[in-house]
Amino acid sequence: MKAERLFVSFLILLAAGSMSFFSPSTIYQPFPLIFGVVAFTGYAIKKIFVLDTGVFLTVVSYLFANGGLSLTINNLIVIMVFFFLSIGIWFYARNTLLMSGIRGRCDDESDIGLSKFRRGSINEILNTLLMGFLLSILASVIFLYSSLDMAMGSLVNVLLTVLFSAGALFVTFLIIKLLFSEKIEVGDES
Amino acid sequence: MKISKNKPFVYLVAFMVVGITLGNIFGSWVYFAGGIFSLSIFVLGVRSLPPKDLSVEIERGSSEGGRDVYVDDELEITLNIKNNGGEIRFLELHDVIPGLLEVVDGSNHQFLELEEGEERELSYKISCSITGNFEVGPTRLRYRDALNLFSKESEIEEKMEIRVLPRTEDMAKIDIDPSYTKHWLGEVRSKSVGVGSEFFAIREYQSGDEIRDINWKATARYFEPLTNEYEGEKSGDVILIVDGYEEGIVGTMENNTMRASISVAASLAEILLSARHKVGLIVSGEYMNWVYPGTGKNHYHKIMSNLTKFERGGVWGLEGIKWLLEEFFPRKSMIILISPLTVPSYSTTLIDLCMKEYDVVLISPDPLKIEKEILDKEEYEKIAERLYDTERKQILDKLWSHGTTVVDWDPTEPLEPTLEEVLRYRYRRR
Repeated sequence: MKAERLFVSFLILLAAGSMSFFSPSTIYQPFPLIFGVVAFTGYAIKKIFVLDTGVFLTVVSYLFANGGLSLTINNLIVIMVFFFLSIGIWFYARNTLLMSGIRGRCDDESDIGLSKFRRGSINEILNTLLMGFLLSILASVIFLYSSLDMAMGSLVNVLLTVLFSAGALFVTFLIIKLLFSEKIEVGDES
Repeated sequence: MKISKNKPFVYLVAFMVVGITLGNIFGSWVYFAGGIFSLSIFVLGVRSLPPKDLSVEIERGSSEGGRDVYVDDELEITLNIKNNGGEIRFLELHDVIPGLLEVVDGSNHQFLELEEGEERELSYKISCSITGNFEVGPTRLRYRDALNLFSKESEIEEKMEIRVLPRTEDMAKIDIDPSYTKHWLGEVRSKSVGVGSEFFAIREYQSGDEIRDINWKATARYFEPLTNEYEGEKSGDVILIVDGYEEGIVGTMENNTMRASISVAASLAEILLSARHKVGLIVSGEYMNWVYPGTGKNHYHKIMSNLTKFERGGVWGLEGIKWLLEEFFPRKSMIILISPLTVPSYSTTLIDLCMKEYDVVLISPDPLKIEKEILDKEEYEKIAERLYDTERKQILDKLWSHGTTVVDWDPTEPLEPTLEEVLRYRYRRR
C-alpha cells in the first residue's frame, strides 16, 4: 500500500512536470507543475478536495498554457495524451485514497475483497480511458475534417448535421437529466 | 434508493463547461478539445450507472445462534448475502456496529462482486470489554462505479441485539452461608433437626419413622428402637446490592469500580443460586433496578440481564437502597453490598442495617488500586495514598466492629482468596 502511494505521488508529479515541460515557454508554463504540487500535497495529506482541486487546476492551466497552439494532429495528440494521463492518474489516486480509508483494521486486504476491487477498478479506468481516447480521436478528426472547409455533397452535409445535432442534444439531455433529476452528493465518499 | 453523483462527476461537468466557455472566449481549439475529452469520459462513465434496484437480501446470524457473549470473549457474526438482481460489480458493504464493540477478526466492511442470483457468506468476529446490550446493524450497501462518478446507497434495517455479560470468576471454594435461614431446603446447616444428611441426634422410634433411619447399634445397646435425627439443611435470602452512585465510581470507562462490582455480583449470583439460596438484586444506576429474591436458572438469567442493563451511574445512594430493602425485601436477609465505599455516609447506613438484623457483608473494591493501575506510577502521590488508605481502614474497622463482614478487595486480583479468608474468619467469629 505504501509503495502504491509512493508510485501514485511520483506519477502525479511526473505528469504535472511533463505538462509544464512540454508546454510552450510562456509565463503560464510553470502553472501545471505548481498545481500538480497542490494535487500531490492533497494526496499526501489524504485530503480528496485538495487533490481534486489540484488536478482540476493543473488540467485547466495546461490547456491555458497551450491555448495558442495551432490545430495539427501532432498537437492534438500531445494535448490528448496529457489530458487523459492526468485524468487517469486522478481516478487512480482517488481510488487508492478511498481504499486506504476503508482498509480499517484488516491487515490482509484480500479478506475484505479490496484486491478484487482494485483490480476491477484499474481495469475499468484503463478501459474507459482507452475508449475515451478513441472516441475523442474520432470526434477530433471529424472536427478537423470540418475545419478544412472541404466541399461535401448536400446529402452528406445534412446527414452529418442531423447526426451531430442528435448526438449533441442527447448528451445535453443526459447531463441535464443526471444533474437535476437527483441530488448531487459531494460530501461523504468514503 | 437514490443515485448520488460524486465529486468526479461534478469536476467532469466543470471541465466541459470551462472548456466550452474558454474556447468561445479565446477562440482556441485547445479548450474545445478539453471539453470534448471530458465529454467522452462522461459518456463512457454513464455506462456504469448503478442498477435501478439493488436487490440484495441479507440475513445476519451469530456463531451457534448465541447472542450472549461474556466480556472480552469473541462472537462470530455471519452475514448471508443473496443477490436477487443482476450482476453487481462494485458493492461496498458495511455492517454497522456500536463503537464500544471491537472487530477482532475479519471485517464488517467488505467489497463484493456478486453474480446474478449469487449467494455468499461473510463473517467477522467482535469482542467487547464492557458489559451491556448492543445492537448490531443496520447493514449499509453502497454501489459505486470504478470511476466513482455515481454511487447508490441502500440500508437493510435488520438489527441483531447482543448481550455482553459480565465475566464471572470461578469461586468453587466459596461457601457463603446466611446467618438466618428460611424454611426451604438448601445447603446451610441450620443447627436444628430437619431434612439433611448430617447426623444430629438420636431419639426414640416413633411410628412412621423410616426403617433405614433406625440406628441399629444404639437399638442393640439400649434394647429399644432408636432413630437417627439429622441436621436440617436450609437456605436463606441473599440480596446482592451493586452500588452505582455516580460520584463514587472511580476509574475509566473500561476499568472502574462499577465494572468490578458488576463482575463480582455476577460471580456471587452464580454460586449462591447453585447453593439453592434465594438471590435478589438491587443495582442503583440511573434507575433503581431490582430483582426480588428467587431461585433457578431463569432467575440467574434475570439477574444477569439486570446487571448488563446498567449503563452509567446514577443519583441513587445507599439511603434509597435501604428504603427499598425495608419496604419490599424480606427481613433478616443476608445483604451483600458491593461498593467502593467512597461516600462517607455509607458507613452510617450500613451500621443502621446491621442493627435491623440484616446480615451484612461488604465487598469493597479498593478504588485506590484501580486508580494506581490506570495512573502512571511516578505520578502517584505516596502521601495521599497513605492518607486515603488510613482513612479507608478506619471506616472498614468501624464497620467490622458493628457486625458487618468486610472484604477489602484489590480489584486487580481475583476475589476468591480474599473472600475465602474473610468468610472463614466470619464463621469462627459466629
